[in-house]
Amino acid sequence: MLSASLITIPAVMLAALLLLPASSRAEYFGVGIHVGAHHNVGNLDSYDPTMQIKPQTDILVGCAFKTNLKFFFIRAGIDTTFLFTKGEVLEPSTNGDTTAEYRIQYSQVPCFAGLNFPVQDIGEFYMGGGIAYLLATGSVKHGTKEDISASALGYGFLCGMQLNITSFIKLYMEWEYIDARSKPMMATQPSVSTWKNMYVDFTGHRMLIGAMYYLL
Amino acid sequence: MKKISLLLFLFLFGAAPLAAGTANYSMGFSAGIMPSYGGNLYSTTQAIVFDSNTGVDGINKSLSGFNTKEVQRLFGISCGVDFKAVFFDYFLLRVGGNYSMSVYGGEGKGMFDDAGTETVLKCGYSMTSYDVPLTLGLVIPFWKDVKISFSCGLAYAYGQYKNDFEWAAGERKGSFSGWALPLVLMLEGEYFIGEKFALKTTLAYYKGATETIKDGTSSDTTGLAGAGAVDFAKIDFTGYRFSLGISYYFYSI
Repeated sequence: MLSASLITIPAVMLAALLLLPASSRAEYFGVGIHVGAHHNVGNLDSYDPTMQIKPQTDILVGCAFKTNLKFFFIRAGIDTTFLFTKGEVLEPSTNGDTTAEYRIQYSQVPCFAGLNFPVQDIGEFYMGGGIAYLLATGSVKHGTKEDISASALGYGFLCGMQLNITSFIKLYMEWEYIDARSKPMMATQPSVSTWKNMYVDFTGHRMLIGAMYYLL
Repeated sequence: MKKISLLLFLFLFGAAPLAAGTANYSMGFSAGIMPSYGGNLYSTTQAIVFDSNTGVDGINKSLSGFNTKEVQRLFGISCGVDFKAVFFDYFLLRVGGNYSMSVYGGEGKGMFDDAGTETVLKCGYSMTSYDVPLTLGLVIPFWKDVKISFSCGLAYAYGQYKNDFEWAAGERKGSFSGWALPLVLMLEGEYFIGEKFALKTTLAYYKGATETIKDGTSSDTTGLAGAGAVDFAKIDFTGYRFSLGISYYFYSI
């Protein structure tokens, strides 16, 4: 899915760019790479507020595609995460949930649209809303260790800022918020029922920093 | 409401005599989205009767052989108007009015333990609200092209939240309405497409909920010997709102 997205997203954005009337055509199309972080992956304290947890933190690596159409922009990308610190349940749930430890890695394909606020030839601010598709793998230890697989569609927003280094290269920082939860994928309440109750909560803030090269 | 009307009146007419050189005024319209509208929609009936201590999040359960469907948190849309006064180019007073409603999510089938029997539970959630945010802040103008502003304040917010749980042997319904004064933080960017018109995006964060409200529906007592017929919940306005819109400035920038 992700490898297909890697080709499809920039291809669709470039095609849209070329099909637009010349008067409204993009000033430029950029490809960037970035690193970032996502703290409290899984939001287990929201999943079960009676737990005391040590939150999981993931490092995020990805690429971004940004098309500017005068004041309007579209920003898509592909990101993947790597475990930095695993999540641990320090004080167990009082609701019968036996989750003790979790490791969640995910990949996401976000797409945002919004407005650019250029600051002369220094750089620009931008702010947009959009959607993201997320796909998680990892493991949860609840008595036994069990592998997980989950996906979700989420909504969120993006605030960013770019600083011109040269006419083609810009540094960027972004604040990304995505709200998404998967369907239940694991049973972690054996004393209550065998039903699947645990879901992966992808909701949270991502901070990104990177460099973008403008092709057009 | 009288206080809000008075503030609005003072804002619109009290500031009018100020010279155009020291103040500018704008009126805008915007529409946007709200992920997780109403938060997790917790209520006591869900906690006590339906095994969910986290509202819509915990009501989602699935078991092989049972026909369940994921219940997603509410996705809301909102539209609103705003009036802004910018004093000495840098100081902002903003008042707005927004109407919001849930348009997606909140429907599905979860499960609960009905006296030892795992039972499918059909769930429905919906919410509507309006709010009047009043914020003060700073504006940074970038030449005559762009204005970025940050402001904070309070909103008067009134909401209505409904839930509905149906299973083979009974039904529970809850309806709640109430008001709160959530904290509001607002980041706004305006891109000027003329001397007086600007396109804008607004990112707002609301933090606050009503006091605990007693359910207004009392006819839902079938099944479970009437347990959970009276429900209690807060209406949660906490969350992010992103919107796009247009502003009209009364004087050229």
